[in-house]
Amino acid sequence: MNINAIIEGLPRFIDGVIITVTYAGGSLLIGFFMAIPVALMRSSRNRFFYWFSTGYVTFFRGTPLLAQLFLVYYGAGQFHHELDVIGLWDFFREPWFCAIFTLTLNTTAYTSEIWRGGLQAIPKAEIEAARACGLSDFQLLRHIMFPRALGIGWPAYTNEVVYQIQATSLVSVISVMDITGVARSIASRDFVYYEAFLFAAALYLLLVYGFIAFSRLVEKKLHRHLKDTTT
Amino acid sequence: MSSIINDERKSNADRQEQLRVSGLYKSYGDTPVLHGVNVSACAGDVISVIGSSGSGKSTFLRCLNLIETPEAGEIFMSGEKLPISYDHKRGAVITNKNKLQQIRSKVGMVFQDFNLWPHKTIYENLVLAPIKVKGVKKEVAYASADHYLNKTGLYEKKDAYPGQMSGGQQQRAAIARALCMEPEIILFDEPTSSLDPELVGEVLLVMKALADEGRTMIVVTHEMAFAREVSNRVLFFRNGVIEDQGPPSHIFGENASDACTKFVNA
Repeated sequence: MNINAIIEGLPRFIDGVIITVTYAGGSLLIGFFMAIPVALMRSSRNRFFYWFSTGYVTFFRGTPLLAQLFLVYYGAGQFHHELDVIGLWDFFREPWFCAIFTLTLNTTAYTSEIWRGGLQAIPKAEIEAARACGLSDFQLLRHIMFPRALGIGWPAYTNEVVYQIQATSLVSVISVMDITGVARSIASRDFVYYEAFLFAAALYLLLVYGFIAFSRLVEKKLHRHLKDTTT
Repeated sequence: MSSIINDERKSNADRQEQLRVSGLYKSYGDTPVLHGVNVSACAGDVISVIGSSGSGKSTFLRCLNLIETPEAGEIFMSGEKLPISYDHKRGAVITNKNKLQQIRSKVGMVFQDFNLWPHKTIYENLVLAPIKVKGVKKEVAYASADHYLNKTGLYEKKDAYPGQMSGGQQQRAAIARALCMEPEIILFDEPTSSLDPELVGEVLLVMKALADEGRTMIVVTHEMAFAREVSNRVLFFRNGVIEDQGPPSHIFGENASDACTKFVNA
């Protein structure tokens, strides 16, 4: 086992961790909020909203993330001129942008389904009680439905975060130097595949279980009303 | 004793009209539920609504604040017409949401299954609507919550979550929640039907205290003792219409309709 190659590569691995955390965290943060309107559109009676959101969710949940990544990164090249005209080429030529763009759209699709499930699981009677008090639609969402849906959906969302942290490893194939990208580079230079990827795996494990520990705390807070309940 | 109170209420003819319903219709698919219901109530009235399951009494109550939308009919609450219109193609349409929210804020509602918000403490359940809907200052809302929690005997439960309380306590909290809005009229939808028998009494006691204060209440109930002793008027629903109505002395007396007599004596 060649430990020295890993020790030498440690600064690069740290950069990789920063990239992984930034890409996963950034896409999850944006996706968490973008998923709310998508979830509402999915439950909307407006046909355009319904079909638009359903088409979006179906595509991003039904196709591999890697294919989506290629589609955006390489596909954008074919529309080089068109993108240039509207001033977006400077973004779509960059791997980092394509990576975060695709990761965000992907997690938004999954997260919107978690929101939708949470919103639909709220007993109708609780919503009725809020309406009977005179709450407006927005107040109802803000004070009753979102907090309830978050509590219901949090365990599922924890899963989504775990998947997303691991899914970011795919961005290494479009030359982003995340944990996996750094591991590949170090492994092939010094022929230390076993060591490099084992270390990369340990880093992912650390990130994932770090988040799960945090998630437990959040869950305790979200579910504090379930403590000492009789039923 | 109670009949004296009832007669007093009845004789007071020039009280303000609090509720008027005319020509209320509603059906679920091909099944008619309400078939032309007309009612009026004055301030201070305590009206019990009785009838067997499926007679339309709960639907009637739920139409009064448009939690359920009727298919025809006019409803006036404290002098204001509920903003609903009937379109041949689209069915019932709420014509003014703000207006409806404003009217709802003056109409308290207590449900069979309490419907407290489980993720909020009792305190939070009580102050949410006063602060957000009526714009009451926080200190005032909490003081009012304290007042009604004391009144319903729940002050020591103010920081508990609904799931940590008994059904009777939850229902009393739900009544306190309605009272915190200082409603002009309170609708009760079978408030004791989900409770264990030994918990029914504590809730009825609170409701009786409210009636004695002169609050306007409409109570859908299976508690015949409550209808007889606390309310000043009883509506007997059958097949979507008010088949018989009057003071308890009539409904529980010899001159009530046959179906009504049969129902109350069952």
